[in-house]
Amino acid sequence: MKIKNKIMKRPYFQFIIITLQLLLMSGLSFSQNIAENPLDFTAMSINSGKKLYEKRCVSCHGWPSEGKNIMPSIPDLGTNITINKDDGTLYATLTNGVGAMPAYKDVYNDEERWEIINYIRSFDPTMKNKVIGTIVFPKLSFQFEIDEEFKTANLFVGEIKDDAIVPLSQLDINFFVQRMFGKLPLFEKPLKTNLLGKLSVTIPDDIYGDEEGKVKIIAQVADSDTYGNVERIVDGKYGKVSVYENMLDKRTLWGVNAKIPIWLLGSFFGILIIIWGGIFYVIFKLFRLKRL
Amino acid sequence: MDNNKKSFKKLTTDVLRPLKKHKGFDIWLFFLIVLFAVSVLAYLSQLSQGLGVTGMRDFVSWGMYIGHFVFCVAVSLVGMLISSIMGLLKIKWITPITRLAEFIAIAFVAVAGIAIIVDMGRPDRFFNVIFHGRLQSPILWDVTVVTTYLVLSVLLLILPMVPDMAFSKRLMKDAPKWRLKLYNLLSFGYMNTPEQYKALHKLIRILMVLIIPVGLAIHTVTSWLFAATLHVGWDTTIFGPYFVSGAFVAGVASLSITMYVIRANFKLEYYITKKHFDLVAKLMVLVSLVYLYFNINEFIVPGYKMKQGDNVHLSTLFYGSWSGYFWSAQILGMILPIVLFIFKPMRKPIPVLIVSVLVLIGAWLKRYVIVIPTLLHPHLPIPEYIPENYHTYVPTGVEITITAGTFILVLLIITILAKLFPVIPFVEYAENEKIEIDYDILNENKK
Repeated sequence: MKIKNKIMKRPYFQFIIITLQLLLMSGLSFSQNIAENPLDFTAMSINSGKKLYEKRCVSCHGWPSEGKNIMPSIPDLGTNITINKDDGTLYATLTNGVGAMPAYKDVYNDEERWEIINYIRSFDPTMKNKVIGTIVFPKLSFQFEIDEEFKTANLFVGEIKDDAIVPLSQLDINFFVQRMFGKLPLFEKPLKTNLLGKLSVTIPDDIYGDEEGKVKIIAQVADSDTYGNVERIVDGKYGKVSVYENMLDKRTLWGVNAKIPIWLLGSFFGILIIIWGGIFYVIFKLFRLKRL
Repeated sequence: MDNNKKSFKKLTTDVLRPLKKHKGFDIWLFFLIVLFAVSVLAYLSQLSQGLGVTGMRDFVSWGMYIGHFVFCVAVSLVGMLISSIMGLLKIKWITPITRLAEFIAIAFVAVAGIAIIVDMGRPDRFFNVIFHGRLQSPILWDVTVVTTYLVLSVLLLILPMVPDMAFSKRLMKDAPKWRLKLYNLLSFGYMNTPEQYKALHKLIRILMVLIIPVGLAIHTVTSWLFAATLHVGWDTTIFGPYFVSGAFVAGVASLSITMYVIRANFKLEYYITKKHFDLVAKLMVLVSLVYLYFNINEFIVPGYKMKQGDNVHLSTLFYGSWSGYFWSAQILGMILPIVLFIFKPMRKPIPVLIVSVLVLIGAWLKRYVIVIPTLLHPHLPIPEYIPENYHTYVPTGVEITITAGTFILVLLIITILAKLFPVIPFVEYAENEKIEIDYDILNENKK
């Protein structure tokens, strides 16, 4: 620790750090030229990338090409702005971060970062037919509904095989609530379906919804490698009603004129009436002086 | 008895004589009007080119105009001190100079309002303050209270003048018609019946009581324009009384100057005596001591603690780039009158005049020092890419001309008022001095 501090105190060291930061921030990282995608552009890697993307990226960037990025400065990664960049640049950005975007080198390992890049590449129209291999996921019958009276979520998952539906037992299901910046897990661990492929859970009663208590509850098959990203969303008034207090509705000193505190309004006009009452009394009496 | 009547005649002759046409006065008036016209030209250039012609920029957005505004409000407070507080305390010697105090009050408070309008880049939008203002804002309170104080000051000039007007309109028969009409209007049919006397004095007392809270409010609210912010140097709880006590010093100084000039020009040495200068100088010591007390609080308390922001601000004032202005303001505007007026020889008319001029200069500098250095240290540091002239404040020629012009306007208003109305309330003076008032004058012209 002491040694580190000594090093930090040396001016040239700070200079190097600042120079490096400047280089990274300006996107002139050395790694962009060196880095080449070691992975093949396989359907499998795209699918893995999508899962990773959902965990860390979608909350700000939105799903690619849906245009739901939270700010214009945080691009939708399905547009040309991102697609026109080469792999090295994308890798450098993802590794070291840029602007407000954090570095992901300690969050995702090298392979995972490349999988995310493959996923983003899959939105490039020129790359569409270059995907190696395909994944054929089993067809599922996935029913998900919520019993409003008992506040229970009931679901059934079965695999469709030759017109027959075979229930999937012991299948891990994750439950989430949709939040502004991603999905909030409802339970710590995935829950398993029973022998009939059914699962019934009580929805916790401490979930906050919007002003009407509306929440989106998501049931998702955990094993996406086998089944793909399969999820069902149910929308309804299953949560607590959120009460948002708008500070602008209160009577405050910093509010608009119509929201003036009563005490101030009373004081102002009270004083004004007393003083100007006196003034008008004096003027009135002055003009009656003649008659005395 | 006869001798007494004679002395009332002498009194009215002495007081009313200066109101007659006089060549020297015309030259003085012409001189003032020419100077004022120059400043109007400067203002027109500001009006057409915008506030960019001043030294004010984004950070120092309150410059010389606002400093001058605070100064004008301060001086105007003398009206409340002299005619109201002294009047309610029944201090008799003050009578010959009460009307002068009221002239000063009216002139300065009217010009204070003008100084605010001068500071606006778009004066045509002035009424937006009233139509779209927020009652939560001290600016709106200030507009309200300045207007109220002006109205009260005008009333406090007119009401005690009613008996004087009743006499003047009968004694100045050879005066121009418009003047007699004005006097007639302002005498409100006063015939000195016991009922009229009682009613009039009751009304004057009501005004005297009303003007005290309004007078305190006008300068307290003006201080809140500063103290209601978080700026270093303004963010202090004693700004209200600090401003009020400082206002009395500036007001008394301006009163002594006016006393001297009017006394010499109107030959009123018999009424505004050396004793008046002696007493006004003593009053100055009193108000300066009160002001000193507030200054000690205002600077010692933050100076002892030296919080980070205060440190920068106070060191700039005490020994930094603003120390010249600061110490000039403190020494001229406060220390000098205390030290000098303790000695009796210094309380003679000419020393009083000289010291009062210095005090007034100090008082003006003080407002300048209150407004500008604080704005040079904004809440966030001024970024380096901001142009050089945004970092400092240097008033431009146009700005100084306009500010001087508002001061010329003060002189113009006082000059016109002093030429229009008797400067000494001679009826009240005669009552105090036990000179028998010749009420026959009022009755013989009754037809």
